[in-house]
Amino acid sequence: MSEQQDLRTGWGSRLARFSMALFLFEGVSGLAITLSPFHAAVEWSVLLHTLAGIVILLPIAWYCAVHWDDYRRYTMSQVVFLGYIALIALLICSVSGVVVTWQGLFALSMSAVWRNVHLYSGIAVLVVTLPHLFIPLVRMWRKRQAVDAKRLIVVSVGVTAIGCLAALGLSSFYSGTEYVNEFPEDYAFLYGEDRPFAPSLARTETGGAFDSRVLAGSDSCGTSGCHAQILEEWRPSAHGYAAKDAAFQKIQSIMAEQNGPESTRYCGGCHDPISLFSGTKNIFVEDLTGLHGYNEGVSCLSCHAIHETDLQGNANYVVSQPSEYLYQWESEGFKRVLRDFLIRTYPDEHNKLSKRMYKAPEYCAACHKQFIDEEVNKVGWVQLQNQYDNWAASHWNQEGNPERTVECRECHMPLVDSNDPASGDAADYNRSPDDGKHRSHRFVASNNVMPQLLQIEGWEEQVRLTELWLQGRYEIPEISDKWGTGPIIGIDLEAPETIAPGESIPLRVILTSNKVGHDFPTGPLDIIQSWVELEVTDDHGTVIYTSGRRDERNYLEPGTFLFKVEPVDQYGNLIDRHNLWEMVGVRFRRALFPGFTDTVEFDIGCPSDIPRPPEGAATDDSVAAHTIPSTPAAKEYRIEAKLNYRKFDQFLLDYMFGEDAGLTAPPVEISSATTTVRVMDPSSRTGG
Amino acid sequence: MVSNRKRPLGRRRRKLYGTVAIVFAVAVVASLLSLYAFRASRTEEYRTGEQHSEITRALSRDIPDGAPLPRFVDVTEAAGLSGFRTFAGERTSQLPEDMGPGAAWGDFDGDGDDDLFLVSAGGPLTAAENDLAPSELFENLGDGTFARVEEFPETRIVGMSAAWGDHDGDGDLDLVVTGYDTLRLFRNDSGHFERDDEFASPQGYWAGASWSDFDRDGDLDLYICGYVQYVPDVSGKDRISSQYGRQIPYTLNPSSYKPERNLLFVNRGDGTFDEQAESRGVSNPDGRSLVALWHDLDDDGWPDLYVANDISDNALYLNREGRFEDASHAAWVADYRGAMGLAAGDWNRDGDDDLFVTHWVAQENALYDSRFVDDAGLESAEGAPLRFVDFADQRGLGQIALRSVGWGAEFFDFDADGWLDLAVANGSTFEEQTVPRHLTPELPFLFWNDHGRFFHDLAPLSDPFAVPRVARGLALADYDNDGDIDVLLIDGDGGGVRLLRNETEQGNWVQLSLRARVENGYGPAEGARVVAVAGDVAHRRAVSGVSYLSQSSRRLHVGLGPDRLESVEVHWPGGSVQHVTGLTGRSIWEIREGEPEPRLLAAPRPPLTREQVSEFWNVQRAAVHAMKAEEDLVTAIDLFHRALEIDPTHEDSIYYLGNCLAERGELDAALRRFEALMRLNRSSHRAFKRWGTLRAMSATSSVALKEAEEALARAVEINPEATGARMVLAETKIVQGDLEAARQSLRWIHGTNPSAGDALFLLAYLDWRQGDSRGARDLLRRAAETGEDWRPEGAAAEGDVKRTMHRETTLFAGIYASWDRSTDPGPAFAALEESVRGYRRF
Repeated sequence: MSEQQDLRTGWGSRLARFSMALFLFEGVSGLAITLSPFHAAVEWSVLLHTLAGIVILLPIAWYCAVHWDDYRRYTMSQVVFLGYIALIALLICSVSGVVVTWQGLFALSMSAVWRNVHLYSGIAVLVVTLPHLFIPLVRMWRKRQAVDAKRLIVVSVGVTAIGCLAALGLSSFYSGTEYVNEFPEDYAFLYGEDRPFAPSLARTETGGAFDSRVLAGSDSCGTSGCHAQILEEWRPSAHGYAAKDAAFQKIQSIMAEQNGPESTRYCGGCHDPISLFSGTKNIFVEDLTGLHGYNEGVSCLSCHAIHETDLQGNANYVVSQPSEYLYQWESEGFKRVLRDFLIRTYPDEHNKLSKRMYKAPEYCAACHKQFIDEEVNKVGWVQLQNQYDNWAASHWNQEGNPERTVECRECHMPLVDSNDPASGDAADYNRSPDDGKHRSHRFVASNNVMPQLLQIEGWEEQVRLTELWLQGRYEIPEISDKWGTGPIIGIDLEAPETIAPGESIPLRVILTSNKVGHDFPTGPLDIIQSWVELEVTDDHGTVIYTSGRRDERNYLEPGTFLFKVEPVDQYGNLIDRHNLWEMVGVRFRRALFPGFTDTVEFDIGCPSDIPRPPEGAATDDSVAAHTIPSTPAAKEYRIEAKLNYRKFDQFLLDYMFGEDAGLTAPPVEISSATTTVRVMDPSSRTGG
Repeated sequence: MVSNRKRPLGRRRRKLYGTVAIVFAVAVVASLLSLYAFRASRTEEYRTGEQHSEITRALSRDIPDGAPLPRFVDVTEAAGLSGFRTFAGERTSQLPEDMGPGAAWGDFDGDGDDDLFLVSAGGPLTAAENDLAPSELFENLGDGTFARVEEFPETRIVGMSAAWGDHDGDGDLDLVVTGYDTLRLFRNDSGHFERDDEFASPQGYWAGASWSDFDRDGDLDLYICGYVQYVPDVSGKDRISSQYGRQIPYTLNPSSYKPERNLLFVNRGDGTFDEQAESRGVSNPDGRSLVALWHDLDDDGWPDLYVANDISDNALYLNREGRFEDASHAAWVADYRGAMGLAAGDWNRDGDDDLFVTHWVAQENALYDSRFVDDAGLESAEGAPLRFVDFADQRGLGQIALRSVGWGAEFFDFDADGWLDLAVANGSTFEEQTVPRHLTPELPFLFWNDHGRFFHDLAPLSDPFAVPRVARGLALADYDNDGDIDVLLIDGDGGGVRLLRNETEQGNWVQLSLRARVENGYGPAEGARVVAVAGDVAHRRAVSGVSYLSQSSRRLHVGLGPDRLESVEVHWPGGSVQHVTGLTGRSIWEIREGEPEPRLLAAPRPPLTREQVSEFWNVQRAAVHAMKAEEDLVTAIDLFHRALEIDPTHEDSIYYLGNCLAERGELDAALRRFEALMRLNRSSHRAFKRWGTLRAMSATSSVALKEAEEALARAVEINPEATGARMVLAETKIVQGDLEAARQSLRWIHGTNPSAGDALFLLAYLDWRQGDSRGARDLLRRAAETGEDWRPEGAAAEGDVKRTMHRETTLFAGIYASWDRSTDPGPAFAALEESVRGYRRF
């Protein structure tokens, strides 16, 4: 027997064979995981790699200890030196492997540092171990003493091959959901087979259908506490209920009845992408919104799987089918643990769902810019709501100067304290990778109606924040230096300090857009209303003039000054049911451009100046409040003006849900102002 | 030492180290798995309402795949019934306030559609008569809407029920209305009603009313249920009593009061009555009766009487050639539970009519299956025995009802699959802890009959059905004559009515309107019975039914499923039997007693087939393209006609066709289209505005202008915030000389839209007309200054267009458009003045 064969860790020892076999598998599978494209077999390799790592941990430690003991009295040589280096690398690799495994199983996310330590120490082990083994092997080969070594190599290569085949076998057994990316057989291609989703401009990367499950499954993002906070924010957001929005549903069904079911694809790109891409918006379909589409609206993946957008608007984006992790949609059980482990320890594919372009306002423009053209109304082009171009042309947009620019996300996705794995950002000018914050996915804006109407989980907070938002009381500390404070629309009153008895009061109500990043109000302005409510009382408390109040049916009183659009069809008839397929223009429109001012003039008749009601004033004798009562001579008039906002005009709500439903959009007071006007003492006037 | 160390390890030590290593590795894996298992197996806190797989529900069934999707649309508002209220004021927790009311369908004007009488519970017992919400008659206008019959005598009562019946044999339906301390008969004379003051109205708390010619002497007799001998007592609401173990106010507990007797008004033949309940043995003095059903349960041609009693035994009086025999116990239907509503029908198609009874909370409803056919062999001296067995539990109608209080109920085949389904109105009698105290609403039931095997409640699948309400009455009719049966629910506790239009996919069906011989022609055939044979099934129907305080349409509906109708056998109340052939399905027929040929009343269009739907959209798209893109109106008109032949109710199609016709100058035809749209959709702003505008522009008489003004006023009413209709309305005011109204409208327009140059222009004209040239000049200057608001370059705004694509169609839009912006009133208003003069000539 040779000296080698006497060693406990010699080539022929079982310990060596066992350790070396798994060690080789770990090395090869580790390289495959690092270098191969994303594939189910690689995911299975990650799991096998981890399992083998756990199994090998102690044997290899033992092997190392004994091996060291076997050779520690040997004169230091290159082989011995390499052995010590390999031992150190292996130690680091093992410890980091344990940490990475631990984090993959029990932490919310995996530290990239530990992952890299594991990767690079592993490579170091491979690099150093090879010559450490190769040199004595060659020596033995020459002495024709390599019988045990050959056996060890055969066993190791064999085990590694079996491990790799096992990964391939498992991937053929299960590699994720089997999607059916096909249109229904009777799908109508009204605009040609190359434009299955027209008149929406939304497209899929393949040009074909996506199974409704492809972009759904938002809930799975919030399991294990990963993006739970973001999921909770998203649920009552306008993105979350974009499809289940009762108004959307109603209008979609009216559009289907009157203009054909396929025409509702126009709306689907932004409101209901899951149903659109799965071919649900088709003739003879029981429900134009499928279950996944209904529940998730603009789901997590509806945005995060978009990889290209165009500034044209009308949902001009391309969405791809994201790679799926094993057991991606599991929400509980061991399979979910495997899914979480894979996402955390093998995260590159998952990280592709976050793209730098999501910061750009141009990305939002894909849906926040809308128009009608001949494909929709058969007549011609009409601009609809367009928050993007409003913003782009406004003072909020200072290209190349983030300190003076306020972009979409900065207002509508303010930073919130976060324990989300995705918190922190190195790319934003006022953020850092470890700022412990994420951008809120509430997308707080102006809809204070639908979350409550639909009783979506968390609606109370959403409505509370929305109202704060509309009132300009929503603080965003990180942009307070450039965004300003106070009401989003300022209101000022200009009236003379004094008037002569019987004179009317010329009142100017000045409205200034302070904090709005686009037109105020912004569309759809056939539905949304903002108006001036005015009340003038004398010092006896008698109301002498009103405008902008709501009547018992919740309609605004005639003559109310309104920010809105009165859209019309070809014959000048009102577009009152959001029937955009008939809209060709507007009778009038009024909205405030960012930073601009609008002035409303009222001429308020005061008692003893009754004979002619003032311009622009509502003086219907049949309406009690408009009656100018005969009161004792007033010495002072108090004028109170408010700017109100409501999300839905009353007719639309009545039309959609019936007057009996008693639904009305609660108005929010955007801002208010008061002033007083004194009445000159007639005696002093006479005297003068 | 060194040589010692170089010695191989002993076998024992190697095994030991190997074992330790393996055990440790296994321990690591096992601890990880254990940790996971521990986390997964932690005992969760018990939650009420948890579902347990170990607890089964043998009596419930999953809805089978073949079940229809019930489609009902709440058309209450569109039908014009939303204004009706069944109560005015606040409850004072007294029994008569909570037990009603009902509703009755009947074609009082003989125009072929069912009209509707709605009973109101009035209001609190403490209220003065004038403060009670009135019971009202609504005429079915035949277009899906109803209009209140103004001339019906004012009826402000604490109402309970109503029932139509031609008691004077003049061929039209008279009406009896009951209530607390009231019993009223209204005679119908060709559509005009008068209260019959000679009709006895004894004091009592009168509930259900049912007509029947029980003695077969050719005239209708009337049975009235007396509920309890109620003693008004506002203070009683704070006294507590127990009802089936539940604590409720004393004054809401029927057990607190003695039962009231029932009445049988026997028709003397001249339209007057003799009350003979007691002498005929049907006064049922121990029963707190709510409704009574006349129905020939033993097929002997004589209508039997089944009385539903609350907290007292139900009573069955078999009619033995005009004499009554109390068979309540013999027939096993002396149900002691709190009975409310009744329905009769052959739900299992076994050839005899069965009974369904609704009950109070914690009591199952009853499905009394008649054993009449099964027991036919057991003839005794009295003939075949009539007995019933309660199958409610086994058929899904029992346990489901434990949590609700059932009221109105009717068998009907809502999907025309050939099996009688069942609708049930529910609503609690318990008060909620609210101020004022309201009753707890409950979901109604819509039971689909799964081929006689099981009744599945499909109400949750239909949103309009799945609304909790404090319902009482329930009455069915095909009010829109489209072939399927629609449902009307009427609520207590200050509610109103709900009309649910049936749009469920239908199998084959036939409807039969039976007209019995009366002295001078034909009249309603109360009590008649038919057997309609289709395939190998004999479907039984009868002109009867009371639901709860209610009356469904007397026109019979027979669902035939996949089968073709082969023949119909009519058993007339007078005893004659008539075989009728030549009837086809999906049609409404009138059968007159003795006339061999049936008359076709209507054959509603069946739902569109897939091919028709495809064809409609192809035609419609081509039409819209021709109209909007090609501007080829002749083709467009032709295509829209074709589209409307397929779907005559398509709103856009009607509207576009009207517009094309108007553009072609075919004004009358255009107006007719807009009128159709106005009828179809009372909220169609565009229909009213367009009709009003065209009518005004083409007016050649003041009447036409007035009509135009009314339509435009309706458009303004539909949406008072919009300025377009208001502008045309202002113009019609100007041409009619009502300048102040016009001025007001124009000011409102200008207030809403300060850029409305046309409004300023007309305001200037009004100033000028009134001699204020300075004011007119000032306004003209301001009008000339209006235009697009300035916006920064590149800023897009909602409504931007590349070219103007719409035309303001108003009386003076053209004149305003051609105004040269001069501020000299004379020339500025010359054309306008001439136009206005033109209108002023008539």
